[in-house]
Amino acid sequence: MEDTALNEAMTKTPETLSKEELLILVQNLRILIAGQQSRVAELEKGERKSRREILHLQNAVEQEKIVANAKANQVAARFLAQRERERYMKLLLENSTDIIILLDKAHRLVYSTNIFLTRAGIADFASLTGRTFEEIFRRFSDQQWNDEGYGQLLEAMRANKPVCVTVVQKWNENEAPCKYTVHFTPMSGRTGESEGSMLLFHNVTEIENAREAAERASTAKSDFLSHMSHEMRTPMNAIIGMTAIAKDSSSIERKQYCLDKIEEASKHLLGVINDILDMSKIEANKFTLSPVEFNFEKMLHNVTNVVNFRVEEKRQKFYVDIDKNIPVTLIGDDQRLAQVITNLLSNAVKFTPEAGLIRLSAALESLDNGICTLLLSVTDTGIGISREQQERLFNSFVQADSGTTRKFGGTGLGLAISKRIVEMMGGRIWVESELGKGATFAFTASAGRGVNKQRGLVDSIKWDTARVLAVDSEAEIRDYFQHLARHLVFPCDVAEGGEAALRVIERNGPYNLHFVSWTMPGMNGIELARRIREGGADKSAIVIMASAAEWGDIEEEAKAAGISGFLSKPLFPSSIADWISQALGQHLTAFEEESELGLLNDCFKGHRILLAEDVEINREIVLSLLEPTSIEIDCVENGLEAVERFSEGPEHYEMIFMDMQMPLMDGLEATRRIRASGKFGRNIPIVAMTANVFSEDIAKCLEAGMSDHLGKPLDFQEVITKLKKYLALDMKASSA
Amino acid sequence: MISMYTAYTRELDNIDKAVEELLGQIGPVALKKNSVGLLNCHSDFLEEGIAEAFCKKLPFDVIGMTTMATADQTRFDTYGLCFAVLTSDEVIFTTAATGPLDADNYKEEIGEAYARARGKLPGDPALVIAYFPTLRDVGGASMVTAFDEICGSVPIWGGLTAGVDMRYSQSLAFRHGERVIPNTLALALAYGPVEPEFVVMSIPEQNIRESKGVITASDGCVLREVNGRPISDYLEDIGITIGSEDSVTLPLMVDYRDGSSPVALSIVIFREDGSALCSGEMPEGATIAPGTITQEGILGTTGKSLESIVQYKKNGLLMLPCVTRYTMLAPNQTDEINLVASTIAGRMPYMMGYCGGEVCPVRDKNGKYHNRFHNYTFSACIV
Repeated sequence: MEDTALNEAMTKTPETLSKEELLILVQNLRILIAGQQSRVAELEKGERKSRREILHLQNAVEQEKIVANAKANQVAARFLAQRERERYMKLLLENSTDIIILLDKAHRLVYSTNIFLTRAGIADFASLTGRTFEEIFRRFSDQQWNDEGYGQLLEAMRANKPVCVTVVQKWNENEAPCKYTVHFTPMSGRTGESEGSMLLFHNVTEIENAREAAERASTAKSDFLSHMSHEMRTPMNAIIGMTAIAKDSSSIERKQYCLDKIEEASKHLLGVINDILDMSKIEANKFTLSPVEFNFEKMLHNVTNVVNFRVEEKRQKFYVDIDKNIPVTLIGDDQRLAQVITNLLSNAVKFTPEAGLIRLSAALESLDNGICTLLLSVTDTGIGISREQQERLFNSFVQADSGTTRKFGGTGLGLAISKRIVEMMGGRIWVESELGKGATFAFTASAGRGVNKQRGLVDSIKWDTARVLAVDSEAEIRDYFQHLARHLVFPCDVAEGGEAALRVIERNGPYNLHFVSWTMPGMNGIELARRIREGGADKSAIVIMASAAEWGDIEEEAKAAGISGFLSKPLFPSSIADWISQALGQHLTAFEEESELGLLNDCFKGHRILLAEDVEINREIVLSLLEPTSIEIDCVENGLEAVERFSEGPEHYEMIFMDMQMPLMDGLEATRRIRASGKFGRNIPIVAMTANVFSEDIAKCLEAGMSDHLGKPLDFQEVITKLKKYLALDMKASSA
Repeated sequence: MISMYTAYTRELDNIDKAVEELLGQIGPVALKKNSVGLLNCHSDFLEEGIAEAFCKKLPFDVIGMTTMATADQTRFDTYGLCFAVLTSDEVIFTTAATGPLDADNYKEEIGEAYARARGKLPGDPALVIAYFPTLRDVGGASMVTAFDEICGSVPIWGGLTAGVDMRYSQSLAFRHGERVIPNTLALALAYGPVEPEFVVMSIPEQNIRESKGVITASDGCVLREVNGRPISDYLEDIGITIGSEDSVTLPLMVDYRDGSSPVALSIVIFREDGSALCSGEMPEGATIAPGTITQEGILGTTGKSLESIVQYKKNGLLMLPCVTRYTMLAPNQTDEINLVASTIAGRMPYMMGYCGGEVCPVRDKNGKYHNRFHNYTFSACIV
């Protein structure tokens, strides 16, 4: 009905519509519009949905792109990281000094470091592919599989358990075996499943050798300590024992005997202590040289004096050859140089039997820019040294062998110390020897040419009036004189004995200087001297008896026979020249005579010194030894008293001997205070008495203001030398 | 005690239908004295007005954020709206939102918003749930640090908004679903007997590059040079070609070398001068190592997280894993969601949304919580 009415209404014009028809039209229009609006909304919603879905798709595509890019980055980064890892691993394995071998689960090699291929002489790893560890290593040696180490390795592989063993591996016949620490380690992946195993061979040969050397050194040191203990206790025992005997004895001769033994033992003990101290300094790198200008021949003279007594005891022949080209004075550490020569000579004397021969030679190897290279050697006809012993000779704490130590004694440090001294002098030391055929110890050393232009004595003598006759049964001595005569250009005849000498005198006429050996077959030197005097020799003619022996016992008889003087062997050119100068009336002196105690009586009378020493016995020793000199000595027991005593009367003292380590105030502080006390304090000579003789300790003394130092134990000769140096002496009045 | 209920809809075309669907799931719930709503949704739901219409029907405050993909124990979808209500007789809830944040005002704005919400409570809250905006000039770590100072280190859990794409387009946080303002922060405070637990897990060790680079030039969150080379050159050296559009796919593990565990941070954007704004502090001397996001890594860390979550006997689970995890799972993007569903189903209600950065406290060795910003993590709050 409504539809009909609607249709009818729609056919009419607006002005012909009835009210009801109009209403129907409006309602339907509203419905139509609402429908369209709804449709529009639906379309809009659909459009939004479509847009949304398009956006979702776009986002999804974009996300896919992002994910793809991210994954590509991940792949690239992983690839580069992997490459980097591989590169480092390659570098590590190619350059590893350890042998690393990777095995699969069946113990077949899958990888090894290059060092393994090199050591094993394998050209290409491919040749090892598929081979087991045992197959490969067995090719080197079947023997090694008997070793415990390899056995344990195989057992660990079977049990798949880690193990660490030590094996000795010889790679080929041309190489020495090497010791390895081998670590076998089963490898597991992240989830714990087996991935094979790893072998790491670490070469410990060097470490083992070093360990063994250290153990040997430690053993040597222990042996040395034990030996040193013996070396020190033995003389101490003698000192203590002899002291007890002397105290108990009423016989003067017995007491003198004991004192002689005590002196001998003390010197031996001091030598041992000095050796140990020197060695300690060397080990602590505190061993230094103190170069001074010195007379070379005089130094050798002093050295021979030290060994002469023992040479004479063993009736050995001892010769000294000095190259005339060696400068008169040198710049170097004369004491250390003397120490080396003394050590070599002492050994020569010790290891050469009675009546054997010892020769000390000194030559100038080169002189370049003021630096002299000396070559010194000591040759003997002793027991000789085997090649094996020679290799150990210069090592610390080792003598040739312990048997030598037991038989011949000694610390075993002398050569090690000598080597160090020689090396510090820019030289080297060596030995040439065969067992049973003697030995030659030689060394080179550098020293500066002395600045002092002192002419040697021999250059000072006018030789043209000399007429010399040398008489000795030893051809060597006769040759020596003739060589010296040729060098110095003076007339010199020789004779091999007393009778021959008389014939020469008869033939050639009198001589003004005769050197005659004491011990000769047939006519001895004393008898020859008598015959020369009886033969009408000029009273001014000089007859010198040359001997290695101590002539104290025959001095009176010799002088009565006409002997003018004595010349000790070995002979030195300057000693000979000394007598020649006397014979020629020139009275030149080779060396200043060492003072003897007997010559010092009252020599320091009227002089006064201050002695600061806390140890009573040390004070007593100084007082007693200096008593004959009549020097006045004021004693104090510490540095504080020294300062107080000095300040009470500074003008009273000419010198101070200052001990270093004292209670209340030590020597250094006391010195500083005295130096600061005024004019007298600034000028008074203060000599340190110190057991510390390291260079830095001496430097401390000098820094504190001390003038000089004396080492302890005190050498009396040195004390006298210091007194002579620092006291205001009238030498003519004081000398004997 | 807090109870939690969830509702979910995929309906985008019909507002009424969507609202009805949601109300049909929430309506029967016996709400307790105090309630607050949390809403995670695709931005379409804001655009279509569905979120607003739904929130208007609710008698309590709601805060929300856009996420990429959402899920609850019934459903999941990339384009979905997930709603959770926390309700309790003992716990009081308040909410607030800031104005638009930028580098100059974020501290002040956050402070004022917090003060408004806090002012309605008798005391300090026990938990803050916050949805942060993703900004181009302020890193997430900076905002978290500021908030931590403002609230006195009350545990803060939440995340940065995620958008429809990896450029974070149309990412928003909002309150009541209304007055959608860009760059706003929405927060909810819970006062009372709340003892939340937190789980957060990052990239596994094996997914982090072994060799590390040293940061040699930086300025706060702006990374300039690594190993003396500009950051882009450094990345190129290690085989990575990347720009701002996909910078979030590259995690950077940063070791601050102060004894704390390394953290995963992201590059927010590459700036015109070649430097990179990162989501956290990049101090000079710290080391960085690029990581990779892999399916294995994602599912591994999620699995471990879920293993610890199921130990707790609680009433609700909120999860905000990182959006990059979702993206990098392609083409199997629902793997993580499925793993959650299979592990948690039937144990407790849960709400999950992929966000643009995670805010979750971590415990120190003494058990004390410290608020931290994270990237690339699986983050959960158990209430």
